[in-house]
Amino acid sequence: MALSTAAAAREVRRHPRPDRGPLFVAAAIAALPLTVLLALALSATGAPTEDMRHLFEHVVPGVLLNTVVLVFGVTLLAGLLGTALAWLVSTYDFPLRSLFAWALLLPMAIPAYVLAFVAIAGLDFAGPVQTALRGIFGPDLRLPPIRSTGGVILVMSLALYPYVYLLARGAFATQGRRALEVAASLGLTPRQSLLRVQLPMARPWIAGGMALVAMETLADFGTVAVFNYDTFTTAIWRAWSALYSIEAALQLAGLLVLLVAVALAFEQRAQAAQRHTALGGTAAPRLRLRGWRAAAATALPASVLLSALLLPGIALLSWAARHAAEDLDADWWAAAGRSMALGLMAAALVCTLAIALAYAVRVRSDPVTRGLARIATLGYALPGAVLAVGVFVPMAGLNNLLESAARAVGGDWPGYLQGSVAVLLLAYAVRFLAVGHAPIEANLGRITPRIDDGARLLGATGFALLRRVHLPLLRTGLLTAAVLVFVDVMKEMPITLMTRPFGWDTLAIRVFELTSEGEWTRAALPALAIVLVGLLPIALLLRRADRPDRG
Amino acid sequence: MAAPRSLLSLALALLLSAGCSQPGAPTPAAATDAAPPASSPEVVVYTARKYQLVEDLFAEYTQTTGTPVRAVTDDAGPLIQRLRTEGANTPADLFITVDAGDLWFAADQGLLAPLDNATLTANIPANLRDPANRWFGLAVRARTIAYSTTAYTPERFASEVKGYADLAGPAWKGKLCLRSSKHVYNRSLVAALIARYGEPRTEEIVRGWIANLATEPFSSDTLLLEAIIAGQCAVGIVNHYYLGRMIADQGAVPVAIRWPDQDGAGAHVNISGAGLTTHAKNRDAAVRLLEWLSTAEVQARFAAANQEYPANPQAQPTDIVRGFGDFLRDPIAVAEVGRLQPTAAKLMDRLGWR
Amino acid sequence: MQLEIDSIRRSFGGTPVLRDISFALAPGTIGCLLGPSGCGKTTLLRIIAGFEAADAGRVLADGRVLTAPGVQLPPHERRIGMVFQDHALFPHLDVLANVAFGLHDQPAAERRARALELIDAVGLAGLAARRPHELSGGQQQRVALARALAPGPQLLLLDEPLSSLDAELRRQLGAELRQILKRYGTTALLVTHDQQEAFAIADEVGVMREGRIEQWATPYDLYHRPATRFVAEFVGSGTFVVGRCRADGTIDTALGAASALHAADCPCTPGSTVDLLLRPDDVVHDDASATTAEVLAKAFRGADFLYTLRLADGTQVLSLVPSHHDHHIGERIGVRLETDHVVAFEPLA
Repeated sequence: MALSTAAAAREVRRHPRPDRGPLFVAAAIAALPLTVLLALALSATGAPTEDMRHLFEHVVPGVLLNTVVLVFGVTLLAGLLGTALAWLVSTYDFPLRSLFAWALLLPMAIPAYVLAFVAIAGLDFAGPVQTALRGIFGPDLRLPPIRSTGGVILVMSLALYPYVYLLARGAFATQGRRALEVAASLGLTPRQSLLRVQLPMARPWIAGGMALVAMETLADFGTVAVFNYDTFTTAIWRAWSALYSIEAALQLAGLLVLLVAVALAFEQRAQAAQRHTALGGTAAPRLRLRGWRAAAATALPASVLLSALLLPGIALLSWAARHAAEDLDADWWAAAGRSMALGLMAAALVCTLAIALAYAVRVRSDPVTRGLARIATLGYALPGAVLAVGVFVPMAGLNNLLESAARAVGGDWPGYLQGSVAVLLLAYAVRFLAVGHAPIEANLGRITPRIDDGARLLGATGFALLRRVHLPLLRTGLLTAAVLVFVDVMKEMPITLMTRPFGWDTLAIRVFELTSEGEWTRAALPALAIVLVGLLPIALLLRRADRPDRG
Repeated sequence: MAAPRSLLSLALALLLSAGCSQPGAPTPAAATDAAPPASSPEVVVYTARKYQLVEDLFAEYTQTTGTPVRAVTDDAGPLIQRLRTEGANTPADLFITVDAGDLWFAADQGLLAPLDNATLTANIPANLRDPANRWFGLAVRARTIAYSTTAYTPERFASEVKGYADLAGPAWKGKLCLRSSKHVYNRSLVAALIARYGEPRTEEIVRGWIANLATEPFSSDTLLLEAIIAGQCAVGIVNHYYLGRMIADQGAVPVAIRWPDQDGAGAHVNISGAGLTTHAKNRDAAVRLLEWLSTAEVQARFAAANQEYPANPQAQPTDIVRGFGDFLRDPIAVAEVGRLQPTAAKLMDRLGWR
Repeated sequence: MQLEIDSIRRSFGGTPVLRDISFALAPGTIGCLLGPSGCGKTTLLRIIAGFEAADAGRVLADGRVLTAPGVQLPPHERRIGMVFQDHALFPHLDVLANVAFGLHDQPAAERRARALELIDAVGLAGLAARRPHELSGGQQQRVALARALAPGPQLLLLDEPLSSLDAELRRQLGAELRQILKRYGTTALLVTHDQQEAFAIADEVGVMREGRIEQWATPYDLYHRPATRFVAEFVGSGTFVVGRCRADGTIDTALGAASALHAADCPCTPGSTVDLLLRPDDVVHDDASATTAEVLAKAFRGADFLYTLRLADGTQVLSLVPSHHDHHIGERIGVRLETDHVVAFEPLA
């Protein structure tokens, strides 16, 4: 037995001789954000120490605490919501379950900043809800304020839980009934099974979703601005726009990136050796709930959907209706078209890069490659405005260089590099690679090395292996990645603002222009359009995901 | 606590040293002597004044003159950074902001070109433009006091509040609403107060305001006005045009304006203004657009789009704005306010105005 | 534990899958349900485990009702362990944690000791820290067995436990599995479609067909005294030849007379025709025999050849012949009948 054990161990560790290609691929992709970070560091020449001293004395301690509270609060609440909802709809059957199963993903289409301004317009002291309540209970009625730490955590969690829900639902759905049966045969109650089997097995996916939520929260500027909740991003903005010190802002940004990198390193470590394939068995039959349990099971997703999708949707609709007649012109449709075009192009680019990266790590799983992959996905935690500067600086430098070169040889440099769609897409890629990478990597993890071996024996290696074996198996992961990136790009503001070429005003830019002038109700129309355009691909994703028999 | 702090300082040190070892963002100086390419008949505008407030005028200008106007909107900070980074290669000819501080900073960075132009100096009063003529105010907004007419009669309010400093008094505890300190309008106001009273006195006033807050600062003046209407607070400090817009939208609202410090320094005003960029490729076309924007007829509409006061004294504001009454403006040069903005920001940070 | 299955019925969407199944297992016995795929054996196993409900009938353990009309004890309260066909090890746990998984009501030290004991018992000492994906298929199945045995279940169910392994491993692990089960005195029930697996492990085997148990018997009796034509065909190899019953109780065939009859159930009346089951070992090569047959095919199996022979009347039979008798295909060799337990059925219509 001992002999065959050793042989088996060798068998598992055996890999085709790693060549350098994958390493270069990973390095090239990681170079994008690295260039950005380097550009940020280099452009932060000697910040006025006076400004930094001021920030560290009066701003940084407060915002650091706020940021930690916000990130923990949102990550935990969104993680809890997403996991609980995913578990509920994949384990039990109750009224409206099949509707909830896909509808719970739809709030992903609503940008957090839109949910924020709807929540404040609707629920703050002056909003219709509290006004109506004061009409009933008298003018001295005081409710807990929505513009508070709890309020911002709640709103961001409602906007971001779908990231966890999406990944956790996939994990629960593919666990199959076998895991539960094994646990039951070993004397575990269903509740014990949840804690000891289902959750631990779904952990990589849940953690992946929560990491996305955490990074999204860290990078958020719009939502916290609407709530006037000061975070690290706010401090960066403050240094930039109030102290007129881009240098101080970039240094703070660098610090933020460092903190994120450290946090991610810990996360990565905790996740080590957690990637694995699912247990077999057909999809577990859902247990039918009755009576008050069914009512409670219906109430949770219903209330989440109501507050994250329906009520905001109704508010947006009613506001949009007021201005639709005057605002819904050709310009508006063009903006919607550009939003979609950018979303599609970015989705294609990010998916390509994400596959390349995931493969590099799969084929060459040494610490260097894994580290490069980690760096490549760091951009997601960078505040968009800062990242935009980071892309802009090297691009403008390159542009100026090309211009000088052209002039030196007596020619003329025709275009502005920094004003091209390519730069915008590059910036999106840096920002959203993590979003595309997570589902593809998770999906790839489920393709066992045995499948690779089988395919290799049949003569499929390298690119052919990817094309003939993996791509079909990766369809779900790819589609998920593409949809996530598309929707994220639709919602994205600061990068689009800063790096867009002339004439590339999108729906999100409309929202920005209107909200920054306090025109909330007029912003509802483009905001609604972002939501609706985002809903389409999500619905597509759902149609596929509801057929678990497919790859 | 020791470990994280040393980690922070290590990180900072690394970043600083990385930053110092290399020259910063490309400077525009090197390429200035090169001849700009032949002027194409168009003007490129970087504008922090939002598109919906300028698009109609630009369209009209294109129609009447045949000169296309291409605009990029963003906040002033990113636009300034964009100008800085692009250096001599910037496509921008004009830069428009909604705050004097941003104009001052852009000029200070060498991004705006001085412009000796008789039309502009004739149309725009001296205190609304840069002493070196690198930028010109196009519309004026006042940051003023707004109060609930449900809670106070104009007479009673006028007797209790003469100016900004009065809102720091204990009588207003729990009754004052403010916007976030992160917004440039408040920064500009505090900078003006510093110019007027000096830092220690300004600090006292701001501390008093914060102590009187009825609720957390709002993220917008519109929300603040709604809070006054709903009775969450009795008084607040807002830009006059938000009330103007609200009245234009909804008709009469139970909020009135009290022009502050009419016996003294006057109400704080800020400008939305424009400047020619240092590396403008279409200089002549840009100057013609700027001149056009400063004419009395266009000025009225430029200001009316946002219920502001035209910078050109020949032009009239809207009826709604005229209904707010005449008032004494703080005559301080807006450039000085711009210069003091970082000081104001630090003061607000110190006092914990969120 | 005494397992009692009483009149279990189950249908899916109107199609009956189990039709009135009853049998019992005495404590410490290893039973087996043997049948082709789709015969309902896995459904029955899942009903016993409590993963599925029965439409009618009862499952009792030492007289305690596990399943009955209106009663459905949840799986985790049945104290029934299960080894799954695909091993189903928890991928997020190492071997030790997998085996200790069901030991949740004991102090950590005891859990560990018990788990290590079982890891040792299944021959995996030293591999406690491995992850499932680092193990071979056979090792994984051993872990699955140890994990199921660790909590000391009253009954162990095994769902095709060896089917994913190669033949050599199957033989070796089958014997070992039986040893281990006997050592712990566990009552066990396995289902399989592979008679080798059934015979290697089980004390008693029930052959299932289309939702019924055709015969419940020891492996020896199943092979030599099949109760039905289906059992005869499904268990072991063999062929049918036409025989004519004579008044003296013997049966006349193309190979000569069969001398001894299977005592019970013979449908023989003098003069009637029957189908006689001939196992390969019933047909003996004998050069002295007057009856000859043509070699149609031969399979070398080491110690012997399995010949496929054609008799003069065209009937084909199988014959197991020691491998030093190497005949060519097409050659005619002498054969005769040598039967201990001749099994006969009424001829098919």
